Amino acid sequence: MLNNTVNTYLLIFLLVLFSCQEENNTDKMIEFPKVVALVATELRTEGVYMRYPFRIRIMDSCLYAMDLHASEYFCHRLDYPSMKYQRSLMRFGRAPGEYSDAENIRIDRHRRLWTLDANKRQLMAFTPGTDTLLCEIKLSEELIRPLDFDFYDDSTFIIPDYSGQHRICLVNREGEIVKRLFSVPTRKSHKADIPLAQAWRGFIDYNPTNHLLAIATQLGEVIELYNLKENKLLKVIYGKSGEPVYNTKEGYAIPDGIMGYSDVSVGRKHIYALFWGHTFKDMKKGLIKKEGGRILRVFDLKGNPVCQYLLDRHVTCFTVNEQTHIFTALDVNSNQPIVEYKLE
Amino acid sequence: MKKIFLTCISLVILTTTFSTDLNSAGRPTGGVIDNIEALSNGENPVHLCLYIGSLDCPTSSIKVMYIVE
Repeated sequence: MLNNTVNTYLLIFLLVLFSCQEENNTDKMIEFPKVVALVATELRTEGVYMRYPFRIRIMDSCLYAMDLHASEYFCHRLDYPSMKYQRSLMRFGRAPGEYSDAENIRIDRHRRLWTLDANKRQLMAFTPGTDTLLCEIKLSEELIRPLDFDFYDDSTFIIPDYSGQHRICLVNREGEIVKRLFSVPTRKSHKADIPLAQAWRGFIDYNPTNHLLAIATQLGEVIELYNLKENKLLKVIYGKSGEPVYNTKEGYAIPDGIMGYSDVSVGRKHIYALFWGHTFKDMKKGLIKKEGGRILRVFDLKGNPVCQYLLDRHVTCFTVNEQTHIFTALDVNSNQPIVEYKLE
Repeated sequence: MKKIFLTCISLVILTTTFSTDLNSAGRPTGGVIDNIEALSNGENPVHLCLYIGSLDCPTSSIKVMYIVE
């Protein structure tokens, strides 16, 4: 009888041990009903050299390409689709009128080009046509480090929160925070601090037509959808790698896991996100030979997967014309970085 | 009885071994990191920001390919 009792206790102990394993990502993996391979068409251009092309915008016959690691100018303007070089702007440097950083570029509805210098903590706008500096907006120090921006309306910007206590900030034309919204949707017991915000650094895009804001995380595999009119989180779309993985050291997040998304766009019909999937393990071993992602994921406006495109090149960013179904991207690994795909 | 007990202990040890996260995140492996010329990130001993990329190095004003402890 004693033997049976001991065996029973041992069995219970083993059962408890097996059930106490580290929680795995049990979320359903994103499954796309359609997967399509695409081949790029190169748009050759001369007179433009970019070390690390990272953002592209097109409006009518005007194409702007942004270099994240400019040696001379951060931004270049070309005629589209002729690809004839027009001019370069945002000179790199530390003198007055020069810039040390460019996080993103956007064109507002008045056709003004805007850009964000995170190091100077300021937004700049340029006059349509001439691309001369129109205005500079010094951003509040409370933003700590603004790493992206989009237009909420004519007088308000959306900037991701860097404190970890919220997800986004709404900032007025004086650079002051007027509202802080939502929180980082981590399911782990992380403290809401700067390392959390650093690890969950997300690229944003907002469409005022449908009031949808998408945030795609640079680490991990998460896309968040918010409705800013109703002020609510609609959905969190997890991929198989789950939320960002990181270690905290001396108050900083040290990335781990995978490189996730590097660009996202909310259209009128669909949401598009560019995914990399490189693991830091492979990067440390030197197994990753190219920067950028080859996977373009398309969701409907409710966050349901629609299609996954497998690109023949590694790109860092894109812009989509939903009417022509043309997807224009930048291949950071090529001397001719501007490429286009026709989405089926 | 002794056999059963030893078998259970062996199972526990095996389970623990394969359940442990063997990820050596943040630690250089294979000698690759040792041979890489690091980007200047000051004298900060906390971490190393390596190569050019798109990760925001928290202690410098540059974007890098990866950050290691």
